[in-house]
Amino acid sequence: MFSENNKISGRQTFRLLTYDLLGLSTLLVPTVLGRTAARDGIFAIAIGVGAAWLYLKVLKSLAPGMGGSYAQYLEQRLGKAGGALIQTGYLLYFVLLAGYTAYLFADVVLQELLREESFYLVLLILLLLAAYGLWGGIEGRARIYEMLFWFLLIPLFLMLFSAVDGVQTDYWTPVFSADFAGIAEGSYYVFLCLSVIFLSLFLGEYVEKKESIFRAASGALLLVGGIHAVLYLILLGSFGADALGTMDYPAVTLMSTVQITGGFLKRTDAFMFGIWFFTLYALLNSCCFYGSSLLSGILGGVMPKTEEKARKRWAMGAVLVAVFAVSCCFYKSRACFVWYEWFLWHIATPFVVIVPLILAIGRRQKRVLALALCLAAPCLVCAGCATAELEDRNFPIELAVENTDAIGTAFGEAEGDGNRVLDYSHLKVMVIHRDIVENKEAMQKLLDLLEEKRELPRNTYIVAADDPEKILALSDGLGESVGNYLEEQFENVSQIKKQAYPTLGTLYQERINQTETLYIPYVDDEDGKPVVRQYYVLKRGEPAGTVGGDAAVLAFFTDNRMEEYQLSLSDGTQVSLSSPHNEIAFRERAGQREIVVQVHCSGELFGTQQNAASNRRNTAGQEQIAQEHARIEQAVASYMNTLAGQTLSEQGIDLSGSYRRLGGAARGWYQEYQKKSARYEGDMRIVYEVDIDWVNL
Amino acid sequence: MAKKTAISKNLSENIAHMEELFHTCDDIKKKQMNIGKDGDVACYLTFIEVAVDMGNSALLELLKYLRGLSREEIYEALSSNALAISDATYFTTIEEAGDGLLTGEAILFVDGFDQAVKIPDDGYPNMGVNEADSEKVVRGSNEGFTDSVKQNAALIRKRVRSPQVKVRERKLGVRSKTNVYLVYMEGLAYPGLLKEIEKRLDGFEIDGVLDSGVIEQLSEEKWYSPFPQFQTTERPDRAAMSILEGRVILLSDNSPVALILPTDYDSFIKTSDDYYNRWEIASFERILRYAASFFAMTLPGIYLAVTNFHTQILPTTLLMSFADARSGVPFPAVIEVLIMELSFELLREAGVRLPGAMANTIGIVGGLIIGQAAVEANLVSPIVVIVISFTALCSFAIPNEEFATAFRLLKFFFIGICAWLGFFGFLVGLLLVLIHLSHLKSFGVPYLMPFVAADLNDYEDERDFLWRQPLRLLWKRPIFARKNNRRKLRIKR
Repeated sequence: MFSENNKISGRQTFRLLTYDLLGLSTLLVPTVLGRTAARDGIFAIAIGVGAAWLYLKVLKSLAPGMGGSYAQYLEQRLGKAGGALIQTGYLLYFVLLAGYTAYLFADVVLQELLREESFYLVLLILLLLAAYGLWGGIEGRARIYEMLFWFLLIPLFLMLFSAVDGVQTDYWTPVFSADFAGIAEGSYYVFLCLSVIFLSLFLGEYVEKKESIFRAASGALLLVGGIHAVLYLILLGSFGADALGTMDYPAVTLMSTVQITGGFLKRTDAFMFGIWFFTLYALLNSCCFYGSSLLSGILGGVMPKTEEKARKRWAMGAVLVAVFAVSCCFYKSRACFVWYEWFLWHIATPFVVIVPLILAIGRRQKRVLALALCLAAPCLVCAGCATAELEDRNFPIELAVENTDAIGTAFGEAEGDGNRVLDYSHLKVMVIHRDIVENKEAMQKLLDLLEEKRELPRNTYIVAADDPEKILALSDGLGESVGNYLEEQFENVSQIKKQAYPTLGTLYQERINQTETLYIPYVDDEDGKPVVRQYYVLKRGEPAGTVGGDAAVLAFFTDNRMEEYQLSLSDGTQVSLSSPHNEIAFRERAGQREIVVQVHCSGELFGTQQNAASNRRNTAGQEQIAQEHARIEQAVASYMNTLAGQTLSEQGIDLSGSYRRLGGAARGWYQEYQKKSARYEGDMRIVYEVDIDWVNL
Repeated sequence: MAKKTAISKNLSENIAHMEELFHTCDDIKKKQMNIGKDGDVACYLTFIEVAVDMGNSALLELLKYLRGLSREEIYEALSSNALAISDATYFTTIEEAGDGLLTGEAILFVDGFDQAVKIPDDGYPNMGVNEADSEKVVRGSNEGFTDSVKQNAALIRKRVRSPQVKVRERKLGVRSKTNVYLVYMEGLAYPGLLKEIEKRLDGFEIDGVLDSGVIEQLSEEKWYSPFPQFQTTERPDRAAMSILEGRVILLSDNSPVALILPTDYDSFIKTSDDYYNRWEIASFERILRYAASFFAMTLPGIYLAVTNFHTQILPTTLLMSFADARSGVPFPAVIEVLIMELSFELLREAGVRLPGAMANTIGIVGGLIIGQAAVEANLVSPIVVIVISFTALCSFAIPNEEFATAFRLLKFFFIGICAWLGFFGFLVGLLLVLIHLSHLKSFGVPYLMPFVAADLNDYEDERDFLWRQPLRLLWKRPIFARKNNRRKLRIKR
């Protein structure tokens, strides 16, 4: 009367396919692209999406001849035996993909939500959910995703938007730096993930208006492609290509570091995990659904007397048991993983591509085929339970690390000390002994140990001190914990933006990327309060000594990470610079390579100078004012040049952090210094060119 | 302009027209009788049964008076309005007479007289109609259904005065022989829907039907679902509104609760005054109710998931105050939540069963004394009291009691699964509920309309769900109405 059973609308098809495509691919593609195409991943995405779109065109060309289901069509075109063979191939594909998805699904759940729970229990719950979902047929499945669509995509877009703030566009460059094989491999991987679009063939019998299937599929493909592009750029800009290539599920990790501005929640990763929960469930459910309907059809030939409903139930049960077994194999054996990856690359994906192509050849769709082959072939060819109660837990706010050797056992001892469970989720600050920061091996070892302890938040601030325990002991006099005090200082009190302070996540990334100059605050006790007067510098992962607060502040200002920068010039003029949008360029003059920092910001005089400036503005002529502008700008430039120049020449520390920008601005130098990065600072001279928009002068 | 039929001098013709106009309106009484001193003048009296008191009224006096006159004297008395009735009205067409009848008065046709006379009587029942106990509104009628099926039908007719409102009477209950009315708008309700309802009503035999709830439970497709698949209302205006949407109202004698079918999730969230208030406030309140329905089910579970598993979500200061509040409480958080929830349910149950004045006392005893004492005795933490109170507020904000009950029950499921599996449990629970809802249908209408399958009504239903668009844009009837008759509003300016 109202809704015809077993039929879905175009919108439902679009949303269903979007979910099928989104889950697995957003989890896996960024890491693979970080490893293969790296900074050119965006092109790999474009090529992969383009190839998938052409593949969709091939699928579309089959539609006119498909009266009933795809299985019937296969039998009609290839004969009973040929059809059954291909259907068996698809069945195998679905069972393996469902098993792989279920394994990943359970693994992500265990990693992100339930670290101490049993894999088998989680897997069982997921498969029972899938079984219940299958019970309602295609309509029930389609309705879930139709309803959830915007409820999940809007938070995803919101989080991506919030994550833009932490993106360093320098990590995007240099483009076209990956080799052809890397881009091809990345493209093939993107295509491999998106080739799931072939599910639209199986939807034919369920969609009310057949012409809407491929429109919906194109829409889903473009939307998912767009999300991939945006997500990849954000991930690349947040973690850097090298670190991205080593991360397990970078999109989920990103969610743990992003905080919605003005939001009440400290971290939203647990909530945002819902996106992958529902999208992975969609793919798992789809694979089980189509797998069981294929098996039911195949069983129809073997058990013709069995009632269709009973046959479907048997098929569903058999598929779910097989999926459970496959997932357990992935969990138990790494070899299964390697084998499946090989199978997916070399057999499964070519299979789902080639079958429709063969059918399309039969229908003499040669033009489509030729076009598809021209563009898609290169990709193919080149591819090589409940924890402790709240009151029974301790929430360490700050942590002192005195000795790397002891850190491994320190966690264990701390947890065994007393009758409370340690919950590190609110760890704000980690105070590391100066000796560790100064020793590259010790630092690497510490980071290795810390990374193993996954519950440590990536956004924990790292500071250095001569005596970490003494710094922690200041809590008694402060009336609050040192961790909270320092966090408040870094995030709200200081004029330095919080992104300037290194966190545990930054150190993990930098250990692999080795492009940044990090300034670790060096905390000392001053009148019972922890204060930062110096910063310990880590230059591309190497310890580089300490710099004073004035040098570090200049570095932060140069990197546009200061709200307001106040400096006293040699003639006593006090200047406040704000809203910086500085740029860095490279040039060579008389054989000397120069880093040119073009300072653009607003400026005003403050203190006793302010009134004098105001009077001058009222009485002086335009020319005098312009001269005054030039004089102060020159003095500011001189101050910056002196400070940055000294730091560069004496300590080999580039306050502009220009190394990470080389790829985008000076490609030739970038390639040159990839091999001899240690010489970079020695070859360079730093020049500040200042252009201030004066407010009260 | 619609064609009108003049009243004929031939009584048989008039009777035929009236019968045609009011066919299958079993609540409208049509009586043929003879008047005049020789009993030779045929007449036809029609009225809505409950609206006219035949035992003690002007109508009885009039009939007695006419019984003493000859044929000519009757015509004379009628034409000169010598009936001694102050506001007798004369109609010259069948349609006008029909409208007169629907105002709740008796209509008299006399053979050989080419006009119908409206004789005023008690009219529609209004005395004895009480305020609806549930589904309170700020704006709009406060009338509620009564225990009389006939009065209830009249209350609907009072609001929709159209001969197209049809009433089909049935008797249910082998021994109780309860009167059940199916009220619908001809031309709007799907004939297939009526057939399906009648098929379901024929699908069971029971000793007695003492309330519409019995019919509801025996006719539902998915009897095991906690979600009601029939909507209930105690408000005649809500029922009238539903009839105009093409839905069918099932009235059962002795029950002030009418069943509306088919229904969907969205209909349970809507209230009558959503359409009486301006669209901005109506939309705001509706979104609030949607959020309330979500939190009524999930909030205690989310609290347990966050405090036991995912403490990183909360700001540190808030987390510390949660931990401080819990220190000294002897029970695990899940037991604490369950104790409070069960206490609340107990108080609620006690409040419902007790007479009005004592129910208020229970509220005070429960809320103030027990709650405060429990916190002071360190049996529960203040934060749990806040969580449970907020959950209770959310469940009260759901307009339909039966619907709210589903969330109240599912809340315990969420408490269990979130205490066991944290946020993963929450997601599993949410997906289970969603799968279940996506499988539910009410007489073929997907339960999640118009979140899903909105294409069935060209996406027009999306104008009136999470947020209600201005009334002037809601020109189309929802999915329940027949496809070729869905326009309900035409702006003439």
